[in-house]
Amino acid sequence: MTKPLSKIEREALEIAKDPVLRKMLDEERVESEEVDLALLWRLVRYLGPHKGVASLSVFLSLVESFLMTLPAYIVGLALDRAQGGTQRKAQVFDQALDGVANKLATYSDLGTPQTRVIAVFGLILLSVWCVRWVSAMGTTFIVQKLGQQVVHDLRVDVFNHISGQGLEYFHKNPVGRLVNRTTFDVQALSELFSDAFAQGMRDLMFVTVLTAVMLSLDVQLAAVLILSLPLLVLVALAYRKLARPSLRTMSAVQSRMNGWLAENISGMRENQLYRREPRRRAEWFSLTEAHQTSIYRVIQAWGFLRPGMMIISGAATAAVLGLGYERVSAGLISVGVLVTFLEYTSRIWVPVRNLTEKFNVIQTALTAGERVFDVLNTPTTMSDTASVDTKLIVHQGAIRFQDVVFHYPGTTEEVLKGINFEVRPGEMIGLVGDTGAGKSTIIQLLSRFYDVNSGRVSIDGHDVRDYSLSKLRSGVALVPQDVVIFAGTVRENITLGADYSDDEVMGCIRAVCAEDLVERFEEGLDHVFDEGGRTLSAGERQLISFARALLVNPPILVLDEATASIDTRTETKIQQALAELTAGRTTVVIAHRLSTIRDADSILVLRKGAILEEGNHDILMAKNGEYAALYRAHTA
Amino acid sequence: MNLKDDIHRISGLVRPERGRYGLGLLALFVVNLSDVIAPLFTALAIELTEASLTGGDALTPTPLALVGLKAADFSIVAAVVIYFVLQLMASLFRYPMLMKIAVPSHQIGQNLRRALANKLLGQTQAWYDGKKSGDLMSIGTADIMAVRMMLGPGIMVAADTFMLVSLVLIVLVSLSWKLTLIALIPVPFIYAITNRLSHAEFKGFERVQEDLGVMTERVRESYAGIRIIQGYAREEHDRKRFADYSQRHFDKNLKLARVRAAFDPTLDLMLGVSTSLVLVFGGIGVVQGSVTLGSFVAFLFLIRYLSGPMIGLGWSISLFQRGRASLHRIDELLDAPISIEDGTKTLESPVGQIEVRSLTFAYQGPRVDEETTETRGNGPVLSDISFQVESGKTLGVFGPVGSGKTTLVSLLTRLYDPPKGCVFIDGEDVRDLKLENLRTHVVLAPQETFLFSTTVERNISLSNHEAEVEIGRVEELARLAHLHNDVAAFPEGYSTLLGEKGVNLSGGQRQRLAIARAIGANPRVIILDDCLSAVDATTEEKILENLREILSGRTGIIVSHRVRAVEKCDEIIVLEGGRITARGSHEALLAAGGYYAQIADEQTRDDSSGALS
Repeated sequence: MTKPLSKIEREALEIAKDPVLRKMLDEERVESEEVDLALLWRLVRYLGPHKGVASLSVFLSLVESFLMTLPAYIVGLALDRAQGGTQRKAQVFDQALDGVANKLATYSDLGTPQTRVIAVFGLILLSVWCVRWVSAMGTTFIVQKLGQQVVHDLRVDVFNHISGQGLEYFHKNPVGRLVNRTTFDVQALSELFSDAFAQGMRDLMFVTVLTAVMLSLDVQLAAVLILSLPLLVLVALAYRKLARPSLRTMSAVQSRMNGWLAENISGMRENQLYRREPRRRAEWFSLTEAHQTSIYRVIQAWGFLRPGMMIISGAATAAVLGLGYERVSAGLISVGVLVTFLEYTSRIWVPVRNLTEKFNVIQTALTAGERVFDVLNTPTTMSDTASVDTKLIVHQGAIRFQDVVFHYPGTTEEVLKGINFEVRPGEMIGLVGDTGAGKSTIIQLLSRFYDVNSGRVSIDGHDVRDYSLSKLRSGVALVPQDVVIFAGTVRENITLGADYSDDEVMGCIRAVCAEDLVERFEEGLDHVFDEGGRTLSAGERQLISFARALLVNPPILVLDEATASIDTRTETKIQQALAELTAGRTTVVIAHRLSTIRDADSILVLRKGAILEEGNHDILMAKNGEYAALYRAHTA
Repeated sequence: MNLKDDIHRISGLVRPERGRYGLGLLALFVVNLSDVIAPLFTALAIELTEASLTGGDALTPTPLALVGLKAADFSIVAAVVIYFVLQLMASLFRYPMLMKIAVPSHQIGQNLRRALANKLLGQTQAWYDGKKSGDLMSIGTADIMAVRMMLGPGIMVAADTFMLVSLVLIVLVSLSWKLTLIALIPVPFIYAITNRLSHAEFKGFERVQEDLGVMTERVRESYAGIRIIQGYAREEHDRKRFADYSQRHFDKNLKLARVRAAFDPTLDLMLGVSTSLVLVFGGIGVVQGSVTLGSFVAFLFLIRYLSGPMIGLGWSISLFQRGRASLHRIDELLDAPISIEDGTKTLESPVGQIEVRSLTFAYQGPRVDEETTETRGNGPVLSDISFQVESGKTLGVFGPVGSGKTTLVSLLTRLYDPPKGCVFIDGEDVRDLKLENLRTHVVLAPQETFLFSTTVERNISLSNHEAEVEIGRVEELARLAHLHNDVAAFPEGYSTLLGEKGVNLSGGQRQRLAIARAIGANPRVIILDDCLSAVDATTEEKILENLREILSGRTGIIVSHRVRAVEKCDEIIVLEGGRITARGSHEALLAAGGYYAQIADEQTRDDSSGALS
């Protein structure tokens, strides 16, 4: 349900003229207009495991509400008692407080009875404040803890959900977006908890308790204050209407500016090479201009809110003063009660103000929450099938593709058009072909990153869907073209978090001739690699990737040969390591160097999803077809 | 670094907006004055009420009496109306106060942002080599925000504190100086507590932010490496690891929550102590007749105005501390000299003749090499390079990784500054030419090009100064670079957004886009820096065929470590370890039997350069 752009959004776009900002605003606008109750309900359910703490915080909030109404009450009562006024009718807390005061007063004989009563009330007031101090700290802390706990649970859920998604999901969603969902959006929800839930609950209780106390003191004065509440809410709603589009625009412009800055810093070389500087300067100027315009509107709305509320509370106070004069003169209430009410007038608008001022935060959090639950609502595309045999493991490593047809989800173009081949245990098969021929698709189907549309992929005679995903993938180790190095120790990078002894890990490292990688660091296996392993050369990354695969000791090895340029010294090592790695395993190689697969038991030449030729090097050369042509084209 | 300089710098920032700030502060004064006087009329109303009850004379609150007013002159209606009018003023003047301080402070923020971007756009690659983009980002976002906070809320709250406290104290003292002293007892505590807690809060907040960064990086890595994690069935380990990170973040947040939970309640308690003291001593005063009832009530209301500014004072002090630190970082960036000096000469219609004369070059300062991902020392990267490319001819630059090929071509467009008297275009030293002019005529397509998050069309037509380029022209460029079919396959074609909000291109597609970009610039000299390394063989073949058309009438430099890419060049220079070790035509180099011939042999034998990929 896309709505038309608001005036301020149009204004900002007019100034910025930025297609990305337009897209961002469009995306933002899809969000629902009203607070989504289902969303809140889902959040509340996260409180389930923390029921005890949650109820404790509700109880403490209630206690706090009472404590917050007491000081003004005590001041008024003390005033009446000090003056010895008689017109004060017995009220809710009077008896209890008087009782305590009289009891305490007997312990001292300083001053007149009147001054003694006042001193005692002062003492009571102070102790109420102290109790409130403790309870407020406790409540605030517990509520914060509860919020953080929920956020932690949610964060772990989101991470687990995303990391269980199929590759298709990661292709559709850029990493940056997914990272934002997992950390920042979830974090924003914590504010929904502490600011909206917790504070809202506390405020609501306070208003309820206050209303009850006021009504019991004097119905008419109470009515004045209670009637001012809807007016305050009205101001708040007007602010909301006024501020919402501006706030949304402001935050969109702001994140666009951050994005602009980040990308132009990264792309500075291109900017300079292609003399984009004047244009970029103009773009940035327009963006800051649009930012300022949206900020102006936000401040304007803000400048309306606070005075609006103050005028109403001022009017309410004035009304209490006027009406109070009448009622005190008529002997209906005491001066003390009037003073209590005056205090209350300055309190009653605080909850409404809180809620309104936090409105922006709450709105952001709600939007973030929607995005987070969207992630959780996206079903996992790849999971164990019903027919899975959990005991089944890859044992020998026989591979068979039968009439495999496949197109990527969301597309119609068939990337594999009926592929048939077989690899016996321990053999090596090479895949050759141009980009788009289907080489990568074949290896992705083997590890079941995707499921075939028709036909069958089987290992050791069992359909890959009969294996549990974890058992299947433990048996088929993938050595990709681009090696990912995680920030962490050498050990973690090789074990990927599984438990292996140092001896086992070192054994693998030696087997792939990478020992100097470990030995050159003092901390050895505990050496921590930089973010992305920036200090490693392309060859060293390859070796780490080999060690990873070797450690798993898989019956099947899938090797997507690296194209990265590697110096000759490392190259020799890599060849040695490769020999060690492939020995005795079924190996599927996507070859970029024919030397790697010249000795392969079989070579598949692929084109546009079909097998063009099949056979070993000698057979294919003898056949004098595509392979031979390719081979000769470059030896000629 | 010293305070005087900072004050000077800050007032320099505010100066262009001083008119508005002045009005804002004036409005703030009116707000404060009304705020402080209003409770006196509450007090008056209470006195009138009390008098009407007891039938006695109403007492006049001291400050009103001081200006010659008498309670008897007021009816209750007058007192209430005046009270409301004062409240109205206090409310209404808040609007100009906000608009005249907050708005200009943001404007100053925008000015800083613009100055910053101007500087960044002008800085050299050599300067960027020594900087982390994350640090630059944080200056451009967090630091500017901190300065803005200092100039907006910081100044407003500081002024507010000063005015309100002075006014309240004047009124309180005039009501009763003894009671004032008593009410002020908790103030030093408030000040101390605010200071300590806001410090602790800031530290805790920083720690949480820092940890958030660590956790975010952890998540990013897991998602970026998902193929490995899933491919090795290590999801469970990874999840456990993330749960630990999340738990640690939770703990840090909890520590911060502890500080935050103490903050407001403790300050409230201080106000409570003040109220209690006023109740006891003021109450006794009322009983004994030394304090009027009205004064007592006014006191109760006015001391509330003290706690707010006291909290504000601590807050604005920390805003100023952070703002100053941020301003230093911003200024450091703004004051950094630009090491490249723009020339003055321009070439109107150059023929594109290139000459390099005994060029020796070393990078200044540490630098992370993009190709070998190793930090390089400061030894010369290029030694004694000389060559000449006549107009309309092509030069192949051939050599292994790390031989200085990329450095050499970077010097031709002055991405890095060559020494004087070494690099000439049409006989003019590139250092004498205007950068703008040089880069119009000499265009480099880098190996790893950057894509901006805008449409494919705009990415291709990057070099054109007009925002809109005919779509037909863009298509033609894409066809030349064999990118058209790929783009046509996108649902939104040339309007497809790239980058974070859009689609990702493969390495080969990026390289082809880089070529299209370079052709689009229509330069006299075109340099392709290893632009085909990630392109598959068939496409490479086709692009190389198009290259003749692309280069027709232009001077071309083709950098590669693949023989096939350079074999058709008029001349090829072979770079090894920063020196030219051989030169000549493809045939001549093959015949010479050096490194070139050896690699040519290997590449044809192995077909090693991804020809079959």
